Order: sequence, then C-alpha cells, then structure tokens
Amino acid sequence: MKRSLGSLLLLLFYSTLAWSEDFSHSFTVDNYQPYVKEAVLLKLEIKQTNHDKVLFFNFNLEKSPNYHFQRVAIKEQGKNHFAYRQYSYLIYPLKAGKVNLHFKLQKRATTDESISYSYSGDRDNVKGLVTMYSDIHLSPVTLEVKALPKGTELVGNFKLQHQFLTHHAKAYQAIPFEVEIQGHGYPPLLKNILLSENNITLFKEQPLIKSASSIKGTENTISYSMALSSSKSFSLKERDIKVFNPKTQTNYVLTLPQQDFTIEPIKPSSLVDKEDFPKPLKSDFSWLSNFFSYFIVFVAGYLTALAQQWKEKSKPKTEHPLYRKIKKSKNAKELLQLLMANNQDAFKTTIEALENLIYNKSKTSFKSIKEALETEIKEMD
Amino acid sequence: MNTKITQLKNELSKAVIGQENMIEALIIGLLCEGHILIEGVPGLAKTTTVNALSQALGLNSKRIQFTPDLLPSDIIGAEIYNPKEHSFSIKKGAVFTHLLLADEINRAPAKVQSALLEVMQERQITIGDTSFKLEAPFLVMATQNPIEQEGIYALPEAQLDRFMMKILVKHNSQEEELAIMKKGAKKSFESVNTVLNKEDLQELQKELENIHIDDAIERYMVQLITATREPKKFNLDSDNIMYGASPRASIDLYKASRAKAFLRGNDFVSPADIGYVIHDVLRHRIVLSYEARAKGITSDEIISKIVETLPIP
Repeated sequence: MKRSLGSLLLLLFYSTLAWSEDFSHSFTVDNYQPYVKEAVLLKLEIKQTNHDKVLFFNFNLEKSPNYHFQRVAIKEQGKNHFAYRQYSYLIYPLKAGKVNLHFKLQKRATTDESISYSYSGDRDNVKGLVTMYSDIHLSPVTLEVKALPKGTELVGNFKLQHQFLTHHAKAYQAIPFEVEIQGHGYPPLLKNILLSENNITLFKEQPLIKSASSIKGTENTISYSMALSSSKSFSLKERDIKVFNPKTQTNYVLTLPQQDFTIEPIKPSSLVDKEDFPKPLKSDFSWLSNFFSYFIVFVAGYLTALAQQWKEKSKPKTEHPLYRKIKKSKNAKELLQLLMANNQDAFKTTIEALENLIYNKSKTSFKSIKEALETEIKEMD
Repeated sequence: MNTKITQLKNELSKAVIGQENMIEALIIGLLCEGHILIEGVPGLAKTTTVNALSQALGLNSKRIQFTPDLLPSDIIGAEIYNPKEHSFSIKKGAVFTHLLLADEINRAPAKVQSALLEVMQERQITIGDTSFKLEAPFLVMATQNPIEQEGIYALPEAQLDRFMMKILVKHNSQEEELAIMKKGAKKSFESVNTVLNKEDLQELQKELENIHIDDAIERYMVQLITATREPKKFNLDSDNIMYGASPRASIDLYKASRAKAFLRGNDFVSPADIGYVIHDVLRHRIVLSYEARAKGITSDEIISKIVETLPIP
C-alpha cells in the first residue's frame, strides 16, 4: 500500500497551495521517495495576488547536513504589481529515512513612489529602495529517502577511464597516472580510488572536479591525478567501484583492472647528490636584456626632454591673429569693421581715429593709422 | 562725456577698481532701463559694483540671494491672512525697489526664475488679484557663476531674452589686482557718496533721446540681427546657429548703441558704438547648434564673424 501510494505520489503533481496576505505559492517536487544521493527537482511558484503593492521576494533553502541543494533556475516575470517567480532547486538527500526540507522566504513590499524615488538622482546621488521586510513561514517538505544497496560507493550513471604513462621505471621514479570518472549523478568523489599496498608510495593531488547542474541533474567529470613509486616491481590489484543507478534501479561495477609494473633497481649510491655546486644547466643573461631595455627607455626619455627644449628654442614667434587681416584691409571702413568685430577695447584709440577719418573727414591718412596699428600689434606679441 | 556720468564713474571707482566694462554696462542698463546679467567667477566685485551703484544714485536697492529652496513669494510677496480682522493683507516682497540684485540667479529653480518674468517685462507685479506698478527706475541686475555645474538651473531662453545685456566679467590686470590687494588688506576703500538722484537720472535718459541715429545705421542693425536668424542670406555658416536673436534684441541693440554713443560723448551713433555693445546684447540670445557646441564654438565668435562679414555703412 505504501509502495503504491509512493509511486502514485511520484507520478502525481503535488503542490502545496497556501494563501498569504498578498501572494499565493505552490511547491512541486518530482520525486518524494528518492534514494540517498538521487537528484530531486523542487520548484516553488510565487504569484502576487494583491496588486495594490509592489512586491519583491527572497527565497532559499535552509542548509542542513541531511541534504545538499543547488539553485538551478530562477524565472522572474511580471513587474511591480504582478510579480511572478519560479525557483528551481536540485536536491540530493544525504541520509535515508525522513528528510525535511526547510525554507526561508522573505517578502519585501514597497510602493511606486519609493521605486520612482530610488530611480531619481544621478550616479553621484544613489538612493536605496525602501521596502518593508517580512519573513514568511513555509511548512517543510518531507522526503521519504530510501537507503542505497550495501557497499554502494557512487550513485548515478558513470563510466571510468584510466591512463598509466608507463609500466616500466627505475627504482623510486614516479609513475604518473590518471583516473577519470564521467557521467550523470551525484558527484563521484571517492576518498581512496586505489587500495593501499605495501612498499608503494602513492602521491596524489586534490581531484579536479567539473560539475554542471541543471534541472535535468548534474553532469560530472572528476579527474584523479596520482603517481606511484617503488624500489621494486609491483602489481596494483583490480579495483571495483560499486555504483547504483536510481533511474534504472540497477547496480553495476566500474573496474580499474590489475596493473603490473616492472621496476629497474639502481644502486643506492647513485641516488646521492655528490656535487656541492653543480653547474647551471643554462646561462641566464636575462639581466642583461633588462639592463639594456631600462637603459634604452632612459635614453629615449632624456632625448625627448632635450628635444622639447630645442623645439621651444627654435619655435618661431607667433604673430597676432589679426595681423594678416589688418595688413589685407584696403580702406578705413574695412579696418574699422575688423576692429569692431575683434576686441574693441584694445583698439579704442585706433577705432576713434578711423571714425574721425570716415565720418568727420579728419586729415589723418588711412595709411598712417594702419601703420601705427601694425606696430601696436607687433608690440602685443 | 557728460559731467554727471563722469561724477558717477568717479564715485564708483572708490569702491571698485578696474572692471570698467561692467561699470559701463551697468550705466547703459540704467540709462536704457534694461536689465543686466553679469557672469563671472566669484570674487570679481560683481555684487560690490551693484551696491556701489545704488549708493551713488541714492536709489533703493535690495538683494536676493537665490537658493534652491527660494519661493516665488519670497521675491514678489504674498497675501497674508489676518485672523483678528478676518482679512487678507499684502506683504510686499524684495522686488519692490529700484535696483534689484539677484545674486546667483541660476541657483534657484525655474518657478522662482519665472517669478521675475512679469516684473522684468511689464515692471508690474501681481499678487493675488492686485497688480502693482513699480516706481521708475527699476533695474534687475542678476549675477551667475559659470564654473559650477552641479545644483544649478540654467536660465530659460525666455528669461534670458529679458536681459538687455549679458556681461562677462574677467579678472583684473596685475596693476589693478595690486591696488585691490593693498586697499582690501587695509580696508581703505572709500565710502561711496550719492552724486545723482532720480531726477538727474531721468534727465540723462531724456538726453539719450536726442542722440541721432541715421537710417543707414538702423538698417545695419537690422541686418546684423537678421544675420543671426538667416546666416545663409549673408554667406555665413548656418550650421552653428539653432535659433537667432529675437525682436527684443533689435530694440536693445538700438537702445544700447545710443547709450554707448552718449557715454562716448557723441551726439550720433556710429557703427563703432554698435560694435562696442553688440557682443553684450546678443551673446545670450543666440542658441548654438549641437554641432557648434561640439566644435567648441562660442556665440561671441559667431557675432564677431557676422560683424566682420556685414559691411558697415
């Protein structure tokens, strides 16, 4: 009865509908009875029902040692008065039995005026959005987590690849090798990928983990880089990793086959370093190129500064912008017009002289006025 | 030059060293009853000059420091309710004066700047349903600071057009600066005496009307203004001007040229008189195109080009 109810629940779309003051929300869980470390997709939909307010939401799961979770998608539609949010999470239960998923939901209410105010001002006058925070209590969602078959090390659909660079080496020489586990499921992290052997020294790095989660689950590529060394020939026993695939509900084994290594013994005396000051493998003259590059930069800077000085000295004296125009002017009216347009106050006397010449018919000649002006302009330079 | 004008200038020179252009522009404004906008960096004696002028003329003067929170009622006045008598009385604002110094006019928002529109044009103030005619002379002298860009409200074109002249105040020469420094440090600026009164001013204004302007000069003025509106017609670059000068510009150029001729001691207006005032009259009335602004062209350069191109009579 429990089984049939459980499988029925697996197929059925379960949602929790609850009405709070301003919005409705519903949970969707694709599997309420997963195995340990089997991916469960949880979705939360929030729809604003009170359209008088402007609402924002903050949602997340509470951390727990009983499950691991990751947000894989968030859909935000509708603005201001018609907020719609859909949060999608991938959850991996980590223990068998009842596992309660706890949530944190925060509602932020504000008004159109507050939003307008927050957008007003400029980059030097940034205004924060004033909102009323309120924490919303959401009932926990319970998963009935099934235990894994005994001896299971990984959960998912994986394949194993391995690569040994050599099977022959000298005594104490490192033999590098790499094991890669790739596939879909809970990240295939193993504490010990090799069984411990006597007389072998194992060097290992932190595994390189590449995991990408989506609503379809988690794609993983985990690389274990290691090296072995020994003083005599040895064999690595076959390593079987038990895997359970919850989708097909089947067990299978990933195998790292037996490996035999031939080690060439060497005299212990040859391992001892006898030279106190060994000659460098190659001479390093990079300091010389550094020195020359700095020297060239210094000389270039010095010459530029000198050139600037020479340029200043050899610069021809600029003539007054009006000089040529004054020279070109043919009669008193033309010259008066030119002076009227440009800085009249500096040429008050000349303007008066020209006015007298044009309108009062004074005896001063245009030529003498022009020459006096040219001299005046030259002195201005 | 008229003796009264010389007296006035001498009196002003007690309080202000240098800045002859600004002083002359203010006197032109007084003679023509035109409002003056003075633009310059702080500390160039803009406010001191205006205060000295009001003292020398024995006229009432008031100063309004424009700030972002200033209200129109602070300037023009308001109707105040008297709860004892259940009636409204009018409290007159700072604008009821002869010389109004609007200090840093571009610091107040548009609604306050607009409060000056009616009074500047009509010389009349309406509070509630009552209109008051202002006593002549009435002159607004506004100052603005060109440096600051934050927290200022540029004057709208309609407001700018009501100013007869816009004067750019520059720094003094080294000799003038030396004199200012010595006098300022010793606080030895002499006090300004009243040398002219309202009647004298009215007489001077009447004398202006006797200044002769030839038809050819009048036509030349109109051509200058038209060239700002239709530059192509005069073979000028039309890309630099978005809007040319308004008809108020023609009137103000006419009045200012006549006043300038009077100040120079002439009884007729010559093209040189126009040349002396044309930049001040037109620089705030020409709206530059985006291209001109991008090229860094100023309205003064455009005016110079127009004067250089149009032949004088």
